[in-house]
This record gives sequence, C-alpha cells and structure tokens, in this order.
Amino acid sequence: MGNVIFGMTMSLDGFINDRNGSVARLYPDLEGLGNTESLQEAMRTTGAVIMGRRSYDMGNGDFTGYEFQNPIFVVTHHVPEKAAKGENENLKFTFVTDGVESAIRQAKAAAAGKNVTVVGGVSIAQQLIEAGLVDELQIDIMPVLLGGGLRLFDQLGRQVELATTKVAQPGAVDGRIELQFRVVK
Amino acid sequence: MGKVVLDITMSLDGFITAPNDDVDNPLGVGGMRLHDWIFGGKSESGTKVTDEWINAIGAAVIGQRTYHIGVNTEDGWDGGGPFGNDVPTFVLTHHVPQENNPVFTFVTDGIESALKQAQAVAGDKNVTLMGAQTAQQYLKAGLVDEMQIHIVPVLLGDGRRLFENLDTQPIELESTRVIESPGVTHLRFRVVK
Repeated sequence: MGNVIFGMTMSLDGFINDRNGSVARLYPDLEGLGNTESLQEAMRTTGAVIMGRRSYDMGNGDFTGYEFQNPIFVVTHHVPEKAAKGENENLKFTFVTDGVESAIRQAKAAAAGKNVTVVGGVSIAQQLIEAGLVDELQIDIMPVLLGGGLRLFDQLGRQVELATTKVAQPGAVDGRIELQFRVVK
Repeated sequence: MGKVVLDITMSLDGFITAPNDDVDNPLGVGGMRLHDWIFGGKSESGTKVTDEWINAIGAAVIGQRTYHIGVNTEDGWDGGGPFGNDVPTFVLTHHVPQENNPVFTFVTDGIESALKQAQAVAGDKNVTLMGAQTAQQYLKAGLVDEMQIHIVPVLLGDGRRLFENLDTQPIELESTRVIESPGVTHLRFRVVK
C-alpha cells in the first residue's frame, strides 16, 4: 500500500505565499526545481494526486504537461462545468464533493499501491493531518521571513508527533532546505 | 564586535511553547516536548551545537516575560541568570523590579539601548537574544546577525509563535548550515542586510 504524502514549500516563518498572495519568493527557480532528485522521485512514485479547488484554479484551466501525469482528485464544493485541458489516458480529473476522506479513499484506489500525493491547499492538508490521514510530510523551507501571507500550519486542533526521515543540506537548488517527516501514529 | 544571535527551539509549525505557558509550565502545557532533545539525553552533535552557542555568549538580552518565568520557575535559573552568574543579562522592561542579583541590568529606554549596553560588556563575544517578543523586536529593527533554529519534529497546533507581528518587508536570510541530530534539526541562517 502506498503512502499519503503532503508536500509544500514554506518560508522559515511558515508562510506559503506572501501578503500579496505571490509565491515567487518561494519558487525562484522553477526549472531547477523540476530537475531535482526529490521531484523526479515524487513523479516516479506517485499514483494519484489530491488538490483543492484553489490549486486547481491556479492551473488556469490547462494542465497540459503537468508534472504529475496521474489521476487527479479535486476536492471542491462545486464541480466546474467543464474540466481543464490537459487530460489524457493518465491524467484524469475527478471532482470530489463529499470531503477529504472520500478523496483519500478514491485516490488510494486509483493509485494502485503507489503513493497519493497531496499538493495542497492548506485547508485540505490541515484536515487530512488532523484526521490522521497523512503518512509523510515533505516540507521545504526557504531562507526568508515573509512576515505575512497564508500560513501552512494554522489552527491545527491537536498535537501531531513526527519523526524526521530526511534532511537535505543547503546548497540545493535555490537555497531551499528539504525536510521529510513520517507522521507517528 | 561579536554578533547578535538568536538561538531557539521551534516546532515544525512554528511554536516555541505549547499553550498556557506560565511559571508552572515555562514551555506551556505539553511543551516540554520541545526540549526532549536537550533534556532527554542530548546527542553528541546536539551537545556540540549548544556548547558552541553557549561558549560564544558574552551577554544576553531578554524580555520581561522570560525574566519573570525564569526567576520564578522552580528548577529554573536557580538564583542566577539564564546562563549562570557570569553572563550579564539585560532585561527589557517598563518597570524595574526588586532584584539584588547584579547579573541582571534592567533597561527601560528601548531595545537599542539594551543592545548597546550588552555589546559593550560582551566585547568580541556574541549577544544572544531570548524569547519570541524580544527576537521579533530586534528582527524588525534589522539588528539580528544570525539565527539558529532547532526544528523539533512535532506539530504543537497552538502556543506562542516565534515569527509573528513582524509587519516588515520580507527579511532575506542565507542558509549557512544544516545539522541533523536525533530528534532535532539545527538550521543556521545569516540575516542578509
């Protein structure tokens, strides 16, 4: 059985975008990032993806060439009238309107033993972590204090114990520090 | 002159205490989890990192809250300052309390005055900052040179945040060192000025 993995990049002060909603400072080298061992491995080991409606809308209706060519489960209250472009035999959208647990169930079935990768957003990640449905966190820290924006970890209703499984030295692409954790259950 | 440094332990979700921190629970209820790496049998690399920090300290600047909790907590500072009686400690406060230990100097005219006094006694050694509010004030003023954040693999969910109320333009950092110890990861940053 694959794992449910949540991955995100945050500033040292815990924000996933700045006050203006921009993520530019957190991903200064997208091209370099695409070639990292971590992303390559994520692409190899992912069998299905879960994302929230905002992440889906950030694709601007076109997922052609998206890094995860897998079934994608979009958690939303309202199913869009037509799905974004970029669907193919591997990448297919399913809109899930009955909650994150249902999304996890469907994604696990579709992943067929590979990992389910949760790419955001924040509220979905928090719901999943709180419900104990995430197995692994991959948190990249960028060396900056943004001072404001959207917090990655906010209002989590309980304490969650983790175990550090990987720490990447600095000097990686664009200065990020890669941390990976197993959720202790 | 030495550097102005912040050295502090933080949960992955950004808290330096659990909720309800007070004299009875200096790190909040359940917050001792944060210091497991220090008091639960420190590793060789963890010891090296803390020794390096402590040996470089020439003076400390702390806030009123840290002072109050430190001197009033049983098994706290044991009648001394946060680093014993050899490290002069400057307390940012509005009211000077009754205190007979000369290790403490109470500063009522602001953070820059406190830092100037601390640097004068620290000489070539570092001035270390303690407490979230104190750290925030000096970060906002652009007066911090280096930070070492010990990230503990736990999500506390609530408590006292280290990085809050900054209300500044983004502060650029340079990641200068990453050390992995059992149960904690030591991240060191230089503040880019």
